[in-house]
Amino acid sequence: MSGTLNRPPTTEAEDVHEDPDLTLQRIINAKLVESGEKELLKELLRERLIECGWSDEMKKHCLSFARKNGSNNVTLEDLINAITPKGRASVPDSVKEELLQRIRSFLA
Amino acid sequence: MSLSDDENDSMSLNSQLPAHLFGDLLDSIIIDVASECHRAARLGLDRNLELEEEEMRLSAEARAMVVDATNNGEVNGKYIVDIFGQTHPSIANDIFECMNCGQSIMAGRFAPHLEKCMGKGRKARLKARRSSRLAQNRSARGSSVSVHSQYSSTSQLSNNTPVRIMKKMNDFGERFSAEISKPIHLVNPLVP
Amino acid sequence: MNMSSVRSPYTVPPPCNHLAGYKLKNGLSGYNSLQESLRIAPSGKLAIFRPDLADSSCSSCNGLRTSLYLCLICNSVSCLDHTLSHTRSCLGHEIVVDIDRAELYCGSCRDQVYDPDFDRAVMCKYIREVLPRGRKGFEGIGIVSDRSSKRRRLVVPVLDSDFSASNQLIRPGYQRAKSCHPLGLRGLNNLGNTCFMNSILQVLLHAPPLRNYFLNDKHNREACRSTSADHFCLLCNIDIIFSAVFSGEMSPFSPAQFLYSWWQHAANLASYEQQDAHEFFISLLDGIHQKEGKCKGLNKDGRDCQCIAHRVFSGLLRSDVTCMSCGFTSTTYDPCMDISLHLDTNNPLSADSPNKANKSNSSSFSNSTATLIGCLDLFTRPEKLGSDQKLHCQNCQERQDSVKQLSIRRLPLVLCLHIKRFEHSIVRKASRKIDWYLQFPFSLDMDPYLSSSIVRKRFGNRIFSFEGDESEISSEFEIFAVITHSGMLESGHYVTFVRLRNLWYKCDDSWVTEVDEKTVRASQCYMVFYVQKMLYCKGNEELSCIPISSQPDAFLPVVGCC
Repeated sequence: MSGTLNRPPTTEAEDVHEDPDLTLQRIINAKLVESGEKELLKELLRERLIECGWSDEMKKHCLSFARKNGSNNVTLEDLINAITPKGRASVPDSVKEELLQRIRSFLA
Repeated sequence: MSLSDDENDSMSLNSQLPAHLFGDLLDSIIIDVASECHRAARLGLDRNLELEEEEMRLSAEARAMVVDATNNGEVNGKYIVDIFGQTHPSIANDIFECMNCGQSIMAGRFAPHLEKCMGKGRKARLKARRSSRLAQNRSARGSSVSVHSQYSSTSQLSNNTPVRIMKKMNDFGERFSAEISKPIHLVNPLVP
Repeated sequence: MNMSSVRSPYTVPPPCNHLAGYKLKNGLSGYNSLQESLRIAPSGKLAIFRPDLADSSCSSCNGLRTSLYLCLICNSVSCLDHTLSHTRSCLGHEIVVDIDRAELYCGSCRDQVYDPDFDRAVMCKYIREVLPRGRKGFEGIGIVSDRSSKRRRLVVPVLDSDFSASNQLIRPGYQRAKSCHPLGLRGLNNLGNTCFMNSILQVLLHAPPLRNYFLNDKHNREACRSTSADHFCLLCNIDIIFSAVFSGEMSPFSPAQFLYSWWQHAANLASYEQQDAHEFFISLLDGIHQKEGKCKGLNKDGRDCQCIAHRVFSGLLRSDVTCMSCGFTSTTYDPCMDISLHLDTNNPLSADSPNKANKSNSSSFSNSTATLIGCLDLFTRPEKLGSDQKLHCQNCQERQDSVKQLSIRRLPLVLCLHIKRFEHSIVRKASRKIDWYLQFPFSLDMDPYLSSSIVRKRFGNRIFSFEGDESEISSEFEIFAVITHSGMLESGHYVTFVRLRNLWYKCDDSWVTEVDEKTVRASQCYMVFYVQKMLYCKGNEELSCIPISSQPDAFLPVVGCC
């Protein structure tokens, strides 16, 4: 409970193989976070998804799912599972392309 | 709820990485939405979707039915009788005296009469402008000008929007009035 | 005066056993120490940020995961899978925090959980961080103790008559006795392209609070006449129409005296050419306001004005402009007599219109109908101001990108929603009418658009009392009139549907006919009028009937047309 940072017990420790791809991904991810670019990208994506109606659609989907299954019973996991397939599939191509473009230019 | 990556490792990293990062961002937003909705559902902040959906359903039903409906006491868009069993002429034919000039006038032709009678309206304004250019001191419509400016200064009654619309609509008025300046009974029959 | 309890804005869900156990053992210290790590984005989005979390990976598997959780007991950071195993192996380490969302999560229940104390800790951080820099930016947040806000009272606005408790619900199956119609139905003769005026007059005649005002003789014609020389004022002329329409007389009435008086008032609108009903509505209310203001020496700027136009139609809009750089919010309030709503031209239904230029909107959400609710959502949605509209931020002392959001601080008794169907393009120098169908509800809950709801949502719906929660006016509205516009931009026709005792009547100039509610639902609305539900119910009780048994045979041959 104090401020000390304990590593969690490694009861189910997997052997952590250092995949070179994964290492690169981590480095890039850290760069994205540090530079604040990740937050900007997420904000941009969020904005675009609101503009095109994707967000409203997902919310509607969530809330009707919650209603069907009882607002007090439905778990966060249920909701995520309920909207993930549709959410991933229904991003407009133009939005995806715009984001990919920005990610590529960051990586370049 | 693990949205773990299902990408193919054999693909080259360069083409894979942006798509992978995009997938991460998207999944993160999906969780944001789900988390927000979870909170709304648990706190009872989700609005009355039942009511909204019921209203949507009734409207959709109504639209589907009204397409071919000829009820409501109308036949081919023409009224038969009103709720009191009365019928009415297409141009109201009550006769009364104009409160401006005292002349007898038919109700359905009162507005165009009054416009001329009071020296108002677009044509009158144009005329006023012309005449005021010719003889500025002899404008017969000085009063209307002052009322106009007084009016425009009190538009804070409402928010700004209507004022903007007002200006916009006046512009239309000017734009389109030329097309409808024919005598009233020749205008599109839809026009009252 | 009727007092009844109103729904609390939120319910506090009971904590799970693990959360209750955690708090019993650890108190609030975990929450409080977490405050230091909370980071607030200018947009209002919250996250936990600590330098040691910067590489966003799970300490157990090093995998990159979308969500990471911080254990409130041992401060370990794990992905979901390892959070769950951590919970299983360490008793008492169930409660973790989603670091991207600053939400509590119970690893044992495997669900997001809620605690008012946690939310308060979060909100206190907001207030501490932003308040000293921009006191004004938090006008919407008042620190109200939760206890006081749980029990709320509803004060029904009182206008002209004392309302007894009226919890009567609308009876859907109610049918009028076939022998009578509600009083006040009377056609208005068209005086030559004056349907724009007739359509608005029919609405005003049936707006419950306005009807009460005039029928209870609140505008005294005799008294008025003695003060204003020899002609009737605008209100007198409206009063005359009320008398004529509620006299029981059935032949159409010619509002000629009114038109004359109106043109004297608004000289710039004096023309028998086509007019916009909404434009007329606004300037008529303005006329009433000016007239009453002059008589009674009322407040000129309209704020808290007690004239009948303001008492019935005036609401208060709140506008928040938030700096995207520092999060400073400046708030302004403006009185409004109506709300003008944009039809969402990004709506896919506009595909048939010449507005295909939108790049990112050709999505798969195309089979939805445009709705009034959608328009209200759009109206209250945060709007990023363009780079050409950079505003000077008082806090940064610089021009910054900002986001503007509108909400309703105070609802009017009668809510007029105007749909902007007439679009003027400066680029194309042309106007057009947007003639899509727009779905509108008969019962409308305005709660989601109130400032308290909007501001609460902006701060992540935290369990916290916001100023305005104690609103004294119910947010439930019932429709009572719809104005439709048919035809073209330059030569169309206005018709009003009015709802009396849950029956609908079509007022088309001199013609008043009874219509099916489906006809109304399917109509192309241009202006929609709602009244507070309590006033609607009360108004229905008060309407008296007139017999129609003495009327001529109801099946006359077709004569009339228009």
